[in-house]
Amino acid sequence: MLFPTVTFAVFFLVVYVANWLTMPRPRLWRWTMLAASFLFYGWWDWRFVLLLVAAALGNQFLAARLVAVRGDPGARRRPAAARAWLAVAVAANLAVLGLFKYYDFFAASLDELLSTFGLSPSFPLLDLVLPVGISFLTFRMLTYVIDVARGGLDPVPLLDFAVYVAFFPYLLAGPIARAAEFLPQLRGPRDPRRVDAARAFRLIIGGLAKKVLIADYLATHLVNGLFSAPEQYSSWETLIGIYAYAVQIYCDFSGYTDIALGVALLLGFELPENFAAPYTARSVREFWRRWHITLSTWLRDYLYIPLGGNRGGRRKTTRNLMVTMLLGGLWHGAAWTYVLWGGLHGAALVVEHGAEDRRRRMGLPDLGAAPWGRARQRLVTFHFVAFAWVVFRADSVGDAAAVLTRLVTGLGSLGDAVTPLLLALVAFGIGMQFVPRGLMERFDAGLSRAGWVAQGLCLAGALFLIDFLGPQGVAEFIYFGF
Amino acid sequence: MRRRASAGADDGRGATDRAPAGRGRRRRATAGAALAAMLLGFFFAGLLDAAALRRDAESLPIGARRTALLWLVRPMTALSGAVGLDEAGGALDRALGRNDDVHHSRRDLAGKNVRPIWPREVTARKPLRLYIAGDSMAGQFGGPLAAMAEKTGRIRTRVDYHVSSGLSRPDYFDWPQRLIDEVLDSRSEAIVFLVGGNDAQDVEWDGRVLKVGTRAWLDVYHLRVAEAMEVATAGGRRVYWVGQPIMRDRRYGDRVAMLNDVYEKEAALHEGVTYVDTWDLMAGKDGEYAAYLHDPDGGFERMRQADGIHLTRAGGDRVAARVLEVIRADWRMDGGSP
Repeated sequence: MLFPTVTFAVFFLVVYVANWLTMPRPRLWRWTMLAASFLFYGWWDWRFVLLLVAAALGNQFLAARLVAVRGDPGARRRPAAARAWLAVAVAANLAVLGLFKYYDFFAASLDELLSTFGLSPSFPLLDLVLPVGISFLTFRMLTYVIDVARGGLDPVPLLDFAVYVAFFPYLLAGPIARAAEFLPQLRGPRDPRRVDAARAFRLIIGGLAKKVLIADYLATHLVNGLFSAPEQYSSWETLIGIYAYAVQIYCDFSGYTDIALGVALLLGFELPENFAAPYTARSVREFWRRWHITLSTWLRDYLYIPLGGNRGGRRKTTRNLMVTMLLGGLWHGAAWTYVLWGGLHGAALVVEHGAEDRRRRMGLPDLGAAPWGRARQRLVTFHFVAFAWVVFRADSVGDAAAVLTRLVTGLGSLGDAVTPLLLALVAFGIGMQFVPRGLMERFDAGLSRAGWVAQGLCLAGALFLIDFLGPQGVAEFIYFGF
Repeated sequence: MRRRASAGADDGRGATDRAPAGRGRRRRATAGAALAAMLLGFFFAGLLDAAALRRDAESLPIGARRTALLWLVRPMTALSGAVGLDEAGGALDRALGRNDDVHHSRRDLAGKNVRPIWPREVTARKPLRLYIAGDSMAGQFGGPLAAMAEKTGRIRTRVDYHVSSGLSRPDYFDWPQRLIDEVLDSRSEAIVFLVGGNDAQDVEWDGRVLKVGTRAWLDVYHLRVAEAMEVATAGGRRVYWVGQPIMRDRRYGDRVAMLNDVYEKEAALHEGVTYVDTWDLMAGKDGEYAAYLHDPDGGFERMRQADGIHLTRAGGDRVAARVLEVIRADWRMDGGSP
């Protein structure tokens, strides 16, 4: 079920009423939410629901085993049995992800590699249907079993865990809510007299506008065409197309997240922050503190730090950064373009670390101390990120090269794909990230005081304008594919 | 790594607790008040946008979901008309200068000034004007085809695809009318057309719902394909009707094969229409669906998207190369007289 549809609006109204009516009876509430989440997920294909059921049962069993063998949480070293069961738990979750998402990719890549040596092994390909949001599901499951193994979390009853597995607002594309963040909210009371409605409405409307009015417009009017046939676009159109994709992917993904946060707020839950104006970042390192925050913190806490983080000197830090970012890239999809994209970001982080170390050692001044220095840092970071997105968006490395090549081979005419409206949307998509946060909070506060009639009329006007001005039909969110 | 951001409209959590007391602090609502705001919002949005909602509901595949949504939307449309709110969309359209399209009539296609277009010599000075149209699949191979064709220096292209469109549901998108408008406005001499991915659905005909795949349904679909071919070939235009490729889902694939059969049969009946088969082109060595195929350079590339239907860029290139081969042969672009 897609958020920006009438079907979802009807579904949500029913779930909203059921949510607050059943709240005083926790067991009934859990079954209601579970049924709603299964319906939401099974709307594409009911068989996908079996995956959720299997994930809940399998990981609950593993968590029970882990807690039985984990020993003293304060001990320096976990018992061998705990380490073995944790390895089984991680491997089992990654195996499911690997089977659905990566098997064909690696089999085809190996096939191609061996064929260059004159061998033709012809590995069987499975062509499995990729369940939506499986990568997000896997990461949520891993937080649960790893946190239980580390002693930071005790297994919860199966029904609670099943709700955590399937909770529909974050089910398809995050944010990656950790078990330790979500489960306490599930067990704590949610007050029907204290719903953060104004902020929820603003998040939902803002998210819809970002998705429908900006992301989908840029995709259909320039980006899709550019990446499908770059030879048909001029250098100017290619450059604006690259900026446009940066804005599109931000508005698409953060728009989805905003809607998810708003929907969860109306149900009485607070989900973790996922975006914080990423294109205002002054370094790639800062970009990752602002972009897909729940993924970057996940990779930090469950991969980078366990690998050793920056504790083993420069060489090991470099290795750990590259491994983390390459795997982070691969997490997005089964293609070498994602690996290369992760590698580019990893290399940029390594360079930044080195430059920062050198600056400190030599006692050089911080470039960001002056306003122009900060502006230059922002400009350089944005361009690095935007050009790296080309590799991310393209179907192959060759296609990415074809787009980038057009920047120099398409000189001459300007072309007619870049309209004033499109240019304005690109500028708006970047400019909106510089809006002070306090302004939004004041807006929310004002809306919250306006009362339900004014809020309802605001909702009506905004929904009408979004549907009226947006293109016909709704494109899927980009991150559904990951 | 998780540090508070100083700027930006994004926010995710706990703003209430951080907001200063007084003017900036949000007032919480009761669940009932929030529900009332939502109902009011949806109700008035529904009234303002009733016509568009009804159009969207009507464009859904015929079935329970469509019926339920229409049941919901029809009273809104009636009420919207009664209180005059249905004018809002029209007023906004006029203010934005939208919906002022002028359609050509079918008679203009074969008027007295229209001369046969094919055969003729295609040169750089007098390039072939090619119009590439269809559904999302046409969008995926249309770009690569346009790029390949333009590279010859003797073909000028225009790609025009509409997601979710087809021939089953002219109430959603009317391709024959679109073809009339486009070929007249762009003076296209040849058309590449691909639809069908969205067409295996029940249709309404004379107030009756015809089940997909039944004899009556096939008769209606034949009529619609024939109409599109007649429009497209008027005045001597050449049409390259591209069949759908093999699909991963066997049941869906059977329906697509049924549609391809209609296209092939109608193409044989309409002069100037060439049916371009892509079924085998996109199948594996065993004739079954394959997401990965070897490309001409020997690489093993993913040709189909994760849904088992749409094409990747490499898949688009593969179909485009086949279609261009057919066009070049038809216009004798590789030698021989036209």
